Amino acid sequence: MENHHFKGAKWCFATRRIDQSLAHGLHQDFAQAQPGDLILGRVTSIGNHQRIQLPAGRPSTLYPGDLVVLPCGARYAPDQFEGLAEIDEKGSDMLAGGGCLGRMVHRNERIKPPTRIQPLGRITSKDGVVLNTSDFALPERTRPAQIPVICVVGTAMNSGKTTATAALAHGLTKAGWHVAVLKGTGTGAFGDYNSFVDAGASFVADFTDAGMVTTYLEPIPRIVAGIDTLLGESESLGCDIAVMELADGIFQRETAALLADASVRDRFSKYLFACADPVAAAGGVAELGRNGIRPIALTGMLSCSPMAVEEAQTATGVQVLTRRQLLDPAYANTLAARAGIERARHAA
Amino acid sequence: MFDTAMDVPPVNGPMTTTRFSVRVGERTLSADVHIPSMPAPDTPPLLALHGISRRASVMAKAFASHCEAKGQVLITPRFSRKQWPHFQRIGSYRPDRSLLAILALVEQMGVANTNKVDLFGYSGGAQLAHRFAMLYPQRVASLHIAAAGWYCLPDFTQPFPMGLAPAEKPLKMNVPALAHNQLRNYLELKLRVYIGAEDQHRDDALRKGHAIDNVQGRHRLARARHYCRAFRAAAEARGITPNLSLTELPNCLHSFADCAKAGLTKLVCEA
Repeated sequence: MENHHFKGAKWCFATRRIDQSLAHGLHQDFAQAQPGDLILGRVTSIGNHQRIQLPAGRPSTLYPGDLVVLPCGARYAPDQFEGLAEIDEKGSDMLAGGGCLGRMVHRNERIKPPTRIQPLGRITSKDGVVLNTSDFALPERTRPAQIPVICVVGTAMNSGKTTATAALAHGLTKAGWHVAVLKGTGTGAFGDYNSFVDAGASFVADFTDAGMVTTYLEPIPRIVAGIDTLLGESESLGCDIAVMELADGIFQRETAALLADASVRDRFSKYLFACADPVAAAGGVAELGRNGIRPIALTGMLSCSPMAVEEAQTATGVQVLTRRQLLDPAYANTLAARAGIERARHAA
Repeated sequence: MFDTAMDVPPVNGPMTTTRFSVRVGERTLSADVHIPSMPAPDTPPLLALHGISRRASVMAKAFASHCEAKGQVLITPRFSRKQWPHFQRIGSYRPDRSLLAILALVEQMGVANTNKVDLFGYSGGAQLAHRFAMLYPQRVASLHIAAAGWYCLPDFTQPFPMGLAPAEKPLKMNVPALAHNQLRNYLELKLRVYIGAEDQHRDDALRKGHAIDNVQGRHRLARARHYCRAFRAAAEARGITPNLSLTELPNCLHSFADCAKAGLTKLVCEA
């Protein structure tokens, strides 16, 4: 096949680093599909995802018959799907709006079945090599020595991590810092990415920039190498501080493994913990404590309720910061100070 | 927030002046930005804060020739009486946020790198200057505070706002806790304190009271000396060798004009 077959295809956001002009042919051996392999497919039925996120940062409505390019990938999303990075030639599942084609294994009862995609082939270059997101990653970097990192974790999806991350990034920017906002784990999507760009961050990147369409079921050393690449890139671009969100909850497979690893924890200067209520705050702080982590502040949905704030602070002894406070340069700056930003600058 | 910039008549000689305005929340702050004929790109701008008489233009004229000679961009905000009756305080009012917005706008307009500034304040402006520096020490290349009426001491035995112990009344914004986290960085700043040697009068503008008189002294000269002692002690207690000096300007009362004639503006620009 020649590359005119790709004309008009909707490439998903997770392919944003790909040089589309390299797409030349198709390989139909789907049994060999690896996470990150680019799959050309045709939409056969519209399900949960009615739109696809484009690299330009806008969603595009999907219609049956549309050609799409999605990387093969797994998905962990308790409020949507769990899926594996497997391509079935008879039909595959669109597991995320930003990308990810695979096989759904679990579905949240409240949502529709996935949008179905008929895979047409793994996209190859002119020399027949299957294109993979990892081929277009940032150059791998060793662990950076200096940049302070505030790590944002939470109880689950939708606990307020991204809101807190964007707010803190904005507050730090207002205080005059050059801020990198990073996602260390999760599934590629433009919602978080765009909100970090909107917050005024000097540099925004996620695991996709380190070559992974999703971190779910990826080997931990690969994820750690990806985190180092993102932090190293941030430092080389002159960022003073990084705010890194780890997706999902602290019990999620990869997030839990990262937080349990002392060498990974060494990369993070301080932690913010996002949660929805005081019980979650108490449980989360206790759970983090098993790994020797004491967050510098609690935030998230919890912070919307003054009564919940008081209960959480009493139960945990950890201050609660609202979104408004994280947006405030004076508050954000104090978190930067506690993360050792001046020490890092002097040492650099 | 809306931001504006407009050209205004220059304060002095070859400097060109542009007026910037920012609106943060419900308050607007304007600042004249005076650009020397040959800007020195590596020299931090001088951000000069007026006192309660709000004579920003007088301050600009006094600094202009020194900044022109040095190639230093001069930024002189003016806090209006109507919108900023207590501009020197950070808490219920947020002059800090407006100053940050002015600095951001000056940088965005390509006028100067405002990552760090030399920060000067006279009287009420000195109060704001040191409070701003306590919250954002990373934005300050050097801090110059002249004839402050009183100070927020780096001292945890004194309740805020005189010190950094918790305030006696609940605060909307926990400034002492925020300043506490920045204290080490603040104490590492280059600090120059100036005071008229004759600034020993208890005029109407001076904050008075048993507590402040007993702790900081009965007049500005005594309070400046006390502040320097407190700053030095706090720094040394943390293993920091303070970069601190106190200059007592001879024959000067509580008057910016007198202090400028006695060499204050030259000292600031040459420090």
